[in-house]
Amino acid sequence: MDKIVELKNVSKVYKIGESEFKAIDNIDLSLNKGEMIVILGPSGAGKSTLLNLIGGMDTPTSGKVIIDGENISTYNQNRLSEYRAENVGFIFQFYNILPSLTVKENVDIVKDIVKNPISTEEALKGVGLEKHSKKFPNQLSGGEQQRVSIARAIAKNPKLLLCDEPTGALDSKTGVEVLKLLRKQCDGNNGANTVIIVTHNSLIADIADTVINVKNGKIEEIIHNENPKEIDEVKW
Amino acid sequence: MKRLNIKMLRDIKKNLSQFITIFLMIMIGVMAYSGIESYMGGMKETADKFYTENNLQDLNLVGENFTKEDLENIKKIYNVKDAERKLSITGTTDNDKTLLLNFIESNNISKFYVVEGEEFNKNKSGVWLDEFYAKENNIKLGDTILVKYENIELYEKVLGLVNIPDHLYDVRDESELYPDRKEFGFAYLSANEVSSIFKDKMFFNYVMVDVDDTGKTDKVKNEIEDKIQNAKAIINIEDTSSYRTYQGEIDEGKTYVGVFSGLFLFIAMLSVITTMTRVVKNQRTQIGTLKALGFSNRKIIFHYIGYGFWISIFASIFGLILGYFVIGKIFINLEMAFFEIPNGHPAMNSGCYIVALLVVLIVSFITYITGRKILKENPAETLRNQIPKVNGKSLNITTKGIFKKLGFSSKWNLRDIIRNKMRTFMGIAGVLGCAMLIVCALGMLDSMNFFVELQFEKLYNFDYKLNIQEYVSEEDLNTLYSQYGRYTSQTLQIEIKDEDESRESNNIFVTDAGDYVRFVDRKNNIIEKPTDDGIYVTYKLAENKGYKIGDTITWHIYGDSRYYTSKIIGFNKDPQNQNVTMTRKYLESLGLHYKPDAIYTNLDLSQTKEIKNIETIQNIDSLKEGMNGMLSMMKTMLILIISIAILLGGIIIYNLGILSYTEKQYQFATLKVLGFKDKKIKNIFIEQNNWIAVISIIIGLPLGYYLTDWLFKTAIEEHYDFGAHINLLTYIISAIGTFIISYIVSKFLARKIKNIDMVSSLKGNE
Repeated sequence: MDKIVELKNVSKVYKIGESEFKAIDNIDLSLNKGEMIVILGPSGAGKSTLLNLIGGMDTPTSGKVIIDGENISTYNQNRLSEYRAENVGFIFQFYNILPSLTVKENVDIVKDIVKNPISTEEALKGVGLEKHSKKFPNQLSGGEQQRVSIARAIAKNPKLLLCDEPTGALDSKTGVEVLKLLRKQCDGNNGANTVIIVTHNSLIADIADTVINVKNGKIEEIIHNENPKEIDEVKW
Repeated sequence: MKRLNIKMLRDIKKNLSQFITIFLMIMIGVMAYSGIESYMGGMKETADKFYTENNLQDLNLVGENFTKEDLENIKKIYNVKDAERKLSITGTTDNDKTLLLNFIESNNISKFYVVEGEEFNKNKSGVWLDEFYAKENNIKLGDTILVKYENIELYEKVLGLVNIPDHLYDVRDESELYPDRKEFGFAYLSANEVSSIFKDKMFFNYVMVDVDDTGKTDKVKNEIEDKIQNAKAIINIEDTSSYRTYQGEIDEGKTYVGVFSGLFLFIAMLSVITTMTRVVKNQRTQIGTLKALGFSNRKIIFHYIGYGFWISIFASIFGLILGYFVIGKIFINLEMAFFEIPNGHPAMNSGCYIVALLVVLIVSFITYITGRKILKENPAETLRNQIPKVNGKSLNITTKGIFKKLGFSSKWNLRDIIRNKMRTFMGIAGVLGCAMLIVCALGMLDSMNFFVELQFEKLYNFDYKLNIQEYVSEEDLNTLYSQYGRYTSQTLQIEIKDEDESRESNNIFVTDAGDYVRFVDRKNNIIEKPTDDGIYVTYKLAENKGYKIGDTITWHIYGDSRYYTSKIIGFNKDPQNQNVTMTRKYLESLGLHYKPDAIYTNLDLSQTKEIKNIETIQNIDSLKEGMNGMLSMMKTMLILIISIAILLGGIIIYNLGILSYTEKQYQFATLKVLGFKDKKIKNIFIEQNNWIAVISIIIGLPLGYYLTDWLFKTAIEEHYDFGAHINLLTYIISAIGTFIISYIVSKFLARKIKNIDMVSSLKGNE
């Protein structure tokens, strides 16, 4: 299988005053294209840092981050911006949609940065929000806001869909809806899209193709699910 | 960028009150600056245009009779472009008004600006009257007026209402400070009107000389002095009262007005910068989101610069327009009611545009810097909410000493101030600036009133001043003495020769007025008896010239080429004239003849209209009124400045209030969740603003005093010697006024606390 993400001897060290904190400690990792990958771990384990390094949101202190054959850890800020624009769709726990733009405009905004986006209508239809396109974020529920965030991410047609606790702020029913949408991204498009979800909710692990357990900045174990569960089978 | 532009517009709409205050602050700042500058620019441009187009003379020659030959000889002097003779005498009208009658042969120098009527024509019989005098006395074109000079009575038809370049401003005599247009005016007639009456006794006592190169004026002056024996005095146009007063107005305005407008702009900018920084900082997570989406730093920074750029460019343009059309026009119109000059208009100079552009650049730069600082962080970092950096040590103070005993709200506020030093500092700077401006503007009014009192209550200790006619016999003088007393004075026009041989006009006040005209020292204490062994000079003159007691000065009286050297034996303070004073005895000890030109008396002359050999009877009250009249224009301007200060102050306090409220909203929501009552939270909020107001007032009041003193000492016209004399009441009014504005704004904003939605406030901060 083609590798989409390869991490080689990657470390990320934060300086807090005089002391140092190793958020990621010499990790080696490779992830397959077209899979749904869940990164599991308790708070402070380094999951989000890992996701940020893969997404070009942060740079490693040492090691290589290779995405689709390109070593992005050597990129400067401008190239990283281009990389994020063309390759990565982010979905955050608190949605991070722009409050002063309507649903449609929030998705439309990717047209300013991406060469071949999918149409806004298609993206909104995909998340079931086509009827809410003229609403402002504060007129939507949490689940709906997260769906706007997904629509915005998929509108870019990215290679990587990176989700940081995407269901963390949602109730279980809405959470299931969101996960279904994410799974759909993986399964559709001939396996061109890879979804990486960071969560501390171990139940989500059952639906993933690959599960990575992270603890204290190191990878504890990697599990490959031969037969991931259907989302509706998961008991919340 | 379309979507980002929509975002910007919506963000502005969402934070409308904040952006409106930014808009207003920039607009008022630029308006005050450009308005005042365009007023000063307009004063200069209007006069320059009038002087150039109407050919103002460079030199005035005064003599007893200039012959035709003299005129021709003057014209022959190299660098003299043209010269004209005139007979200038003080006449009266049938209703006892004073008219300076000028009989001229041509009108190419100091040419009239004809407001109404016809151009000067030597062969026409009639009078050209100054426009202000005619208006005040309701004289219209075509009316016939009577002008009298000694035994001559002329009935003249008004042919034109005119403005005259060398008479923008003039008073009847030295002691009058404010031109009384109803009582004193200028009339121009053809010399033909009197030549037939005077016949061979016809004389011309003035020659106006136009020099082709102003750099050569002194050379021409020296040559005239050598060649024209009839020229008793040669006066540069810069030394004439009309030119000097107008120029003084420009010079004086330039500094004090520049300080005010600069301060306005500075205070406004401080507040704008603080607000703009906060606006961008509040967009931190949105910046992070845009970065995560893949927007380049350049695109994001341009987006945020737009916030500052568009708001400041619109506000600056509005400021420039309002400055020109409102402030500039109001100030110019005030001046034009005082100076008789046509087509007064404000003039925007390039400085105004540069300042407006600078404002736009600074505001845009600030948004750039703030945005760039956030952009420099990793997007992952940016997406996290910034936890305010708190230096635990600096908060320790609130747990020690007297602070330990403070109540919850005081401790909370103290810690909030320590954590938000910059915001607090800006708050203090804004309120302080306003308090200072109010003290200064009101203080200037106080100081002016103080000097009016000093002049007319302390220095002038008479009820009437009688100005004696120029040609009066000894016998007539004795008659006047016997009727009105012997308290007299004489003013001599002199030229002081400096060590470097340069000469400057001034005057000597020769006193024989006893206690009727008094002198004071620096501390306003009366100098008991001026001594007879030298001269007194005013403090300001001494400071400007570097004179010390014991120094000597060399001078000569105009019309007399003999020089005298006198020793300085003391200094005196004079609020409105920087000159030399000597006693009659000292004058006579120099071998000079004392010939009084004024008598001072306390007799009741309220019913007396005319006294033989007395040119004018001046009542102390009307002199005081004159001074007040002169100051009234300044007062109007100051009132306008105070109004802007209060308006700007209010907006700044409101703006900083909103800032501080928005930033505390989360904490207030937490307090609310904990069960604090709205009233208690409101009090916490108001308490901090009150502290800031009190601190600002405490610092602002003395600074206001120093600003006033500095303005009076350095900026005001050279012949004035004012200092700050601010009444206690002014401090009280300024303090209470500033506090009230701050309190009202706090109260108004505190009302919002009632509506804080605990859930969404706390969620919004997640």
